[in-house]
Amino acid sequence: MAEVINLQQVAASMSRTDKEELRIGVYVCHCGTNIAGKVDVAAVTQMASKLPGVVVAREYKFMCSDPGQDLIVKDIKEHKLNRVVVASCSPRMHEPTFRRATHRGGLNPFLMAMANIREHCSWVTQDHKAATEKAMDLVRGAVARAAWLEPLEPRQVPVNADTLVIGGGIAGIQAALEIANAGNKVYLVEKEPSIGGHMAQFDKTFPTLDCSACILTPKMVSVGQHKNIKLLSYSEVEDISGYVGNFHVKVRRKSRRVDENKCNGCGVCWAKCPAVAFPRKRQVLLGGKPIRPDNVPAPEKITDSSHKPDAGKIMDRILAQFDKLKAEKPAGTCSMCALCVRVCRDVVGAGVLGIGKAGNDKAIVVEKPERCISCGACAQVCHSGHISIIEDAGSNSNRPPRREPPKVQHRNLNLGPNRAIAIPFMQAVPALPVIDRESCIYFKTGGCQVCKQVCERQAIDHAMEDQTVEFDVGSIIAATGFTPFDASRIEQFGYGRLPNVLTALEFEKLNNASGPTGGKILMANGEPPKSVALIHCVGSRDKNFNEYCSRVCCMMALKYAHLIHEKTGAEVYDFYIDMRCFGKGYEEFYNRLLEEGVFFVRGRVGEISDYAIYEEEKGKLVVRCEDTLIGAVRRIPVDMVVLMTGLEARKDADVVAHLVGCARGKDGFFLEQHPKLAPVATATDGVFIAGVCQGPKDIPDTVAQASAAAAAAISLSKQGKVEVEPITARVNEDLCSGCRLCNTLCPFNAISFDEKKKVSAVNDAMCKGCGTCAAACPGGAIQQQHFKDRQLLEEIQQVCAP
Amino acid sequence: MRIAYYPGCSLEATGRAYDESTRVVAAALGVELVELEDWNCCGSTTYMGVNELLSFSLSARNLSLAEKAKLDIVAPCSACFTVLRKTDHYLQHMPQVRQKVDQALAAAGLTYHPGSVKVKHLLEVLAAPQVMERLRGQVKVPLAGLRIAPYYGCQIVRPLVDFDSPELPTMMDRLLEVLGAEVAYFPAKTRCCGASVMASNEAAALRLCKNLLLCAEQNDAQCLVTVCPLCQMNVDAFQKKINSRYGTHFNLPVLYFTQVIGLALGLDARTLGLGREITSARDLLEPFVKPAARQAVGG
Repeated sequence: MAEVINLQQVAASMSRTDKEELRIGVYVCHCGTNIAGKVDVAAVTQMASKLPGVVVAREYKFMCSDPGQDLIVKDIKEHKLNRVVVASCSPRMHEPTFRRATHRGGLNPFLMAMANIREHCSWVTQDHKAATEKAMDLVRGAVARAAWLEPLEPRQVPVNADTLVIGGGIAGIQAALEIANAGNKVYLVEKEPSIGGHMAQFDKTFPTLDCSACILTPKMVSVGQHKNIKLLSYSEVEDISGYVGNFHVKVRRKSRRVDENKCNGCGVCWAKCPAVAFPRKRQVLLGGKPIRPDNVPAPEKITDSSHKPDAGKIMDRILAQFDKLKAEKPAGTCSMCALCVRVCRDVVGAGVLGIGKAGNDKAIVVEKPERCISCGACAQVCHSGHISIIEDAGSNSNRPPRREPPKVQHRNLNLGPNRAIAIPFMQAVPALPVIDRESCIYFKTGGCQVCKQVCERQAIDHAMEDQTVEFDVGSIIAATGFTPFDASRIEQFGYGRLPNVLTALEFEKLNNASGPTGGKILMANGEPPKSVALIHCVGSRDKNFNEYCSRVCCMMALKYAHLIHEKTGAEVYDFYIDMRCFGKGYEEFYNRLLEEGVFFVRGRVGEISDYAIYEEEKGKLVVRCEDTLIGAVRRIPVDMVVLMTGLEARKDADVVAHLVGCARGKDGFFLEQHPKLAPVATATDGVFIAGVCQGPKDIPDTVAQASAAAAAAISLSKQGKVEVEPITARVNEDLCSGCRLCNTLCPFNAISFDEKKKVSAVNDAMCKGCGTCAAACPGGAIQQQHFKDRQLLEEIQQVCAP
Repeated sequence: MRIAYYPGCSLEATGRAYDESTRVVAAALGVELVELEDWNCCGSTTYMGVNELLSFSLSARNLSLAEKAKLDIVAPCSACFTVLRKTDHYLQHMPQVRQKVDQALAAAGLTYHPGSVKVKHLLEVLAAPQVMERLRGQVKVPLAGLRIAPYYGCQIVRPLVDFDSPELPTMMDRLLEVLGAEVAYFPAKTRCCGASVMASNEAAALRLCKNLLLCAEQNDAQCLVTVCPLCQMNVDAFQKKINSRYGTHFNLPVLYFTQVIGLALGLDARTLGLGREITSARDLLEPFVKPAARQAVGG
């Protein structure tokens, strides 16, 4: 140590009287061979028995066992011990165990100190001599500390019986229902306009091939109708403060621009809305040419809009005419109905199109390209297809030249109506539409507002603002789910460049009966594929991306193989490394697929390309792979490729983790308290996690974990109160100089400043005992209970003694 | 910009057109090439496959000469580029290799501090932002209507994968667009041409070159443009053999990217080494060649 610490001054802040005779019991644990295998436990015990204040020193095989704990209990009574030292594993393992034993013996549990001679000693070296020496140092230190420990009383705080569940997927839904059925109140906050999460996007679930929506929607409806569940959809948690049993939550309710008390979900608004929502980045083509060329920027706002005030009635008439023309006239050639011109001028207010001349004939022409906001209204009312919308993927020499606009969009599939005002999907809970500000015409031109005009309940208000609600809960369950791996990171698979290369979730949505193809598996050109490749482990089990296995993709691939056979009869090639079929009925499902005639190729895919070398590869996607079972490299031409993309932690997982006070593992998923024995609890009391946000898992495991988290929350509320460890910090007002350094350092905002007395004060309820303020205080005015300066310095001095 | 020029052995022999066009174009774009004094052969990738230590020593000698001259190195040949970079990388990360190589260098009275010389490929030097700006302003003969398949070859982007994208780089594509040319879609842009395997296993290399030409033809490219003398030779000189072997009718000129830059800059076609190629580019490039030098091309 560099400087001499005036122990007299430090001791002055301690309350122990020097007259009290120390009677310390030391217990050195073998922990089987975990400690005894490296440390000479007998020698350590011998040394301990000679230390000042030690009246009994014992060694035992398993101190944490009942007979082990009984040693402590008996000795306290028989030898009248007033301090206990246990040299064993990490306090994070058994501090509560030995505290309880000490308490049973009749001694204050905080008069027990531990020396970690396992995780910090026997487990980190092969050197027996060094391990024994270190164990002796640590025991000496613990005994020195124990001498200065003081009795402390744990605080009890009441527990609010309500729970906050963040995330409305199957995990959040299950947890909310369990808690609500137990009679407690739940606030379920979901950032999307509807609950249901990823499961609502699935078509069928493995291995039973149950329809996903059929098994999910009853639960969703229960949530929507449950008297104990307050559903806050289209909302995000902004702030959480407090501690276990007493959390204060602020939620921002985003504005749907639809009044949920008036709207009855009739659907007239989205039926008449002229603007499209997806694809997000789009180009609108008139006769195959972009209406607004690439070099003309999109207008931010149009101030001199030409829209008419009765746009709603005009849209009604336009749509009626459109329906008539669609039924009568053939697709293909422009019939000069000019509905596009009218909608753009009178409803949208941009007036981009007009009637002009193309050669000798009349034609629809682009008059004011700079005013085009790409809302897609013109395409919506074009019965012939002369006006179309394509995804604007940007031009790039690495993209194959586009022959014609795709008939089926595979990316950015929408399961609900593709409009600026739309319900997310037909079974949404709540069954309310939401206005997508990015696509809504009103915000760009001040025109349209057809939805507002046709709504019979006057439920639409474009000026509606976000709202904030605040409430208190006792426990929090984070069930925020996952993000699929971005397949464009693996360039050689051609995702985002080549047509007909889809990710697993995109393929899922394509199969969904609510999707744009009504559940048919179609290629971009509108035809069903004759051969499909399924590629396992995209972004998973890969040192370049994520080393872990995403657990569910093998089963999903098998499910897709079955669906492809059933719906199209196409040949299916499944490229796998292993087949992970671990659950109930999973292996049997795999056998079924084997019998259905899927071509399983065991090997990694090197690349997917569109350059054909052999005749049969022309016009197809070529999968170049290694077939390890026959020991050859193969080229397999297919029509469509589905990449089984892995599950990753959400991009905003760090924000949510920070909000609830949960740590994250190295893969970004939320960290559970113990990987085997405490999968739903976190290091923060009162905060639980469930579902894929904790790690990739399938639906049965998600539901089980959600029920587990719910049980934990209910248990907390049933206890009614919770004990808070009394290891909080205290400010000695006499020593405090009012510098306020601690105020800013406290990570939990638990320290306030008393303006009158000009000293800082620690809020005992918010303090988590991290020790930051005590360490930082320049004047030594802050002492942390159970970790006071004298206690720590004595321990350090003994550990470092020669 | 002043940089040490490492032509490599090919550029003094079959790759002479590359050397000629490089010097002329670099000068026109304000890049001062100072030929590395007393440079030696790098051994190419074949030597590294035969005897790693000797190969490292050969390259280390070149690197030490550049360090002495206090200049970075630019290599037009992808094999030289890869070998020099690999050597520098190994010397930085493997002390046991460095120890032995230091001994070899010491025997010649030389030293080299790994990492002190940056090894660049000619493509990245000419595609650097400042040079591109100058190029943009100096294009006199836009190559309008010339449809080019940009062929990078493999060694420029692999195994050390920090040069552009290892699968589908676009550095040369962008450069060709600045010249006004049309860049064809060419998914085989980083596929191997076989390199020196053409000498030891001709059949295998011919097949690889055939696939490259097939891809270029399928995407209606009129020519290929390369960044490596070995790629150029393989895909250019063996087209007749490929045609007789596979029954194809390829007749695609294969040029160096510096040659097309030179054409766009309006430089004399003779000074660009045009006419040295086996599959003649004369007819294809006629609209872009300055009238004065038109007779000389095709000699």
